[in-house]
Amino acid sequence: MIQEFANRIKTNVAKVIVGRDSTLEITLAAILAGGHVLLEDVPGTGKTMLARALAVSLGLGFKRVQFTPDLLPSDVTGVSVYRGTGFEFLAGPVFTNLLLADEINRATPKTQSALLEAMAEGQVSADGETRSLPKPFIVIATQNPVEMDGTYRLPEAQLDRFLVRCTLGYPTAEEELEVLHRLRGLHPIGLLMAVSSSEELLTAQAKSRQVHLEPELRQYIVRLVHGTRALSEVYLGASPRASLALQGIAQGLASIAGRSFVLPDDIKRAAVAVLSHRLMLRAEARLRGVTAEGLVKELLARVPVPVESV
Amino acid sequence: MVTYTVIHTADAIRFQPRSLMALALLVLAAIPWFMLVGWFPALLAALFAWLARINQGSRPYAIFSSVYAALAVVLLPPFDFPNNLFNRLEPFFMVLVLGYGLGMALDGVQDSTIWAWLAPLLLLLFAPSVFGMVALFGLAILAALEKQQRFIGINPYQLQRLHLVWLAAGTVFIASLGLILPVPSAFQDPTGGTPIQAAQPAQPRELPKMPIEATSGQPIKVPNTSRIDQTQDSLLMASTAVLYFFVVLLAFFLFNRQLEQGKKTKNSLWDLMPIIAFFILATAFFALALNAPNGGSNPSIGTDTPFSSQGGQPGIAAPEEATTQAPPIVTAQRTWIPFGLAAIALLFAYLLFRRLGKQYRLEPDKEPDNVLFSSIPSQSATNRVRVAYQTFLEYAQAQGIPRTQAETPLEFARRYAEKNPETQEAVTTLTHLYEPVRYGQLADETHALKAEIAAQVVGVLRKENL
Repeated sequence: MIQEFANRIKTNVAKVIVGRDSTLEITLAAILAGGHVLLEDVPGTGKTMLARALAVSLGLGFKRVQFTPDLLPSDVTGVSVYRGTGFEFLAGPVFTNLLLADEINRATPKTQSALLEAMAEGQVSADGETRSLPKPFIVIATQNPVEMDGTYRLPEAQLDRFLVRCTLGYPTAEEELEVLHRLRGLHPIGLLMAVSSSEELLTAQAKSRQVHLEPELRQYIVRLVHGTRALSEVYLGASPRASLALQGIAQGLASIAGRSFVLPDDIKRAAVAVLSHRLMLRAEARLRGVTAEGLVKELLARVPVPVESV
Repeated sequence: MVTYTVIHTADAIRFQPRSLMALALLVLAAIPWFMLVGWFPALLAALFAWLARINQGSRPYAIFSSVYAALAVVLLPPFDFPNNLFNRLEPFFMVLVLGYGLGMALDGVQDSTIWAWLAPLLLLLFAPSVFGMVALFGLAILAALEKQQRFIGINPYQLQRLHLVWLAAGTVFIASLGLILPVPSAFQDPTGGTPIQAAQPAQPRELPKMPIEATSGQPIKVPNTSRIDQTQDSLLMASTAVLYFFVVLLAFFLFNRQLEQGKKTKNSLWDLMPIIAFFILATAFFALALNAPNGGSNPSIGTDTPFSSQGGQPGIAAPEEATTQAPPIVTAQRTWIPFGLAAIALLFAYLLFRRLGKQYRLEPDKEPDNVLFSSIPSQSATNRVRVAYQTFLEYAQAQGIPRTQAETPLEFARRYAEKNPETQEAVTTLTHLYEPVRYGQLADETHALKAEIAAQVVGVLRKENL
């Protein structure tokens, strides 16, 4: 059931996005796990388009906020205004099913942090009142690499709340040719139709959580996450939330593949997207050219996978 | 190195609550050593043992620990417990941890922490006080819990083979105690007297307190307790080894029967019976040896027994010669039975091992038409698939393409197929059959049969290539 659901979404998104199957699957798995997605890459690689295509395909309530340096927290969460008889809360764009936080790292850390509670708890506290967000609630944020001008690094706490961070990378020459061919007229995003609904997504999320995860694979996940904490190149390893994220994504990937059980390959496949943005590298390691992605890959090549021993 | 140690310590404090418990126990064990000359190496030994433990049996740490523990042992003399009860219990603790260490060394379970436990073992042997005993006993319990989890988690077929190792090793170990029977007397005198130093040359013993009526100068009849002790020890050793041998054998056959009937797909606590039997019997043996009339007979001490066999009738001793004359003791009489048993056990274990190999392992040397019908329907489907996959891994290893520890079955299948393109289909099929069994607990008879055939095809193709 989930496999068919995922195929529908992938086929629909593929009308707009050329290639990027792996990123799309990881993103879908994150959505099935009820998590938020951070798409990171240089401008012009299709981050926003992927997020928009997903939002339309999933048939969810969708709002987009373009993050800028002068954006205020209340611009995201909402504000109370006086209407003569009393204050009335005007809900911000965060009150939706799928929020596209475009170029999130262009806003100040204060505004970025306005999303913290919404992402973690699915609620917003404003003017001494707590308001629940609609379900499902998913944030897809895009950001440019921090080396670019006019950006603010996301707070660690907020980074941790993104289930995965994906990069799209430049397309191959063939893919780029296909992009030129498809976009020679009207942009196909305007023609995209919803192929799912919020109810179907909620059902799929519930089923995905039931995918069997062998206890030994759970131990494997814990070994990987603990391994990040012992790395000498990092001063902050992955949190227990990362273990939960890895478990959820692995279950999501398994269900997308039509399996009722998780394979170690699912965990390995998700590990870089789940763990790398949670590792805080030491300055000397960064100067040496060490990357978080590289460290996670090294870890994957070292931590034993539970298989029959000879 | 100090920084490295501090980092690991901090890491363990943050994330490993059980390690904290182990640390507390080791510190407790080290407290009495502070009052003695060898406290420093003992403390370091404890610290490194703990670090080794929390680092999944890190060998460098464990080796440091062992070296420091050995230093501590050299520097410190055995301690005379004020309470006689602890003198009596000491062998029990020793056997517990020694047995655990031995099992760790023999069982071949991955990530064995034998080195990590060597230091506590050495500390235990010379534990200076009640605190140390209690603390190290706590460690042994922690270790046993950890061990139990590992045993439960492994493949039933591996555990079955381990039973055989235990069968042989346990019998040999118990039999070998015959050689180190002086050990109990190297501890404390169970009657609460002064400690006897094992390293010292045998000292003449005092005559046992006996009703002496020899004031008239007539030779008196004295029971030859020395020979009685030897007989007791021989019987004790032999009966312990025999009992152990049969208990493990029984466990093995019960286990094997369950496997053949397809009832066993997971291990249970009962499967640890051989180990439990080993502890109980070895402990009982030690305790009985300690409580023997002379605190356990000893070939070297035996030569100092006061009962002369020179001249006169056997068993009749002249009182004036009692402390100076010593009869030769025929030690062969007291050791051949358990060693004979040990030899039989080894032989038997080897034969069973070979039988297992024939029964549960696919044989690449057979002709293909015979091999294809060699599946074992009586086994559970899950086990059959796992054995088939294990066989494939063995083929690959023998071929010089071993699976690396971080490789998933699918990754390994791809790598193997790259080097052996003709096996690609069979290897992929086998891997796809193995995955749901191993990670999804899904298998049926068709599934198992397909897996066996795929494994055999890989074996046949490999053989053709060789």
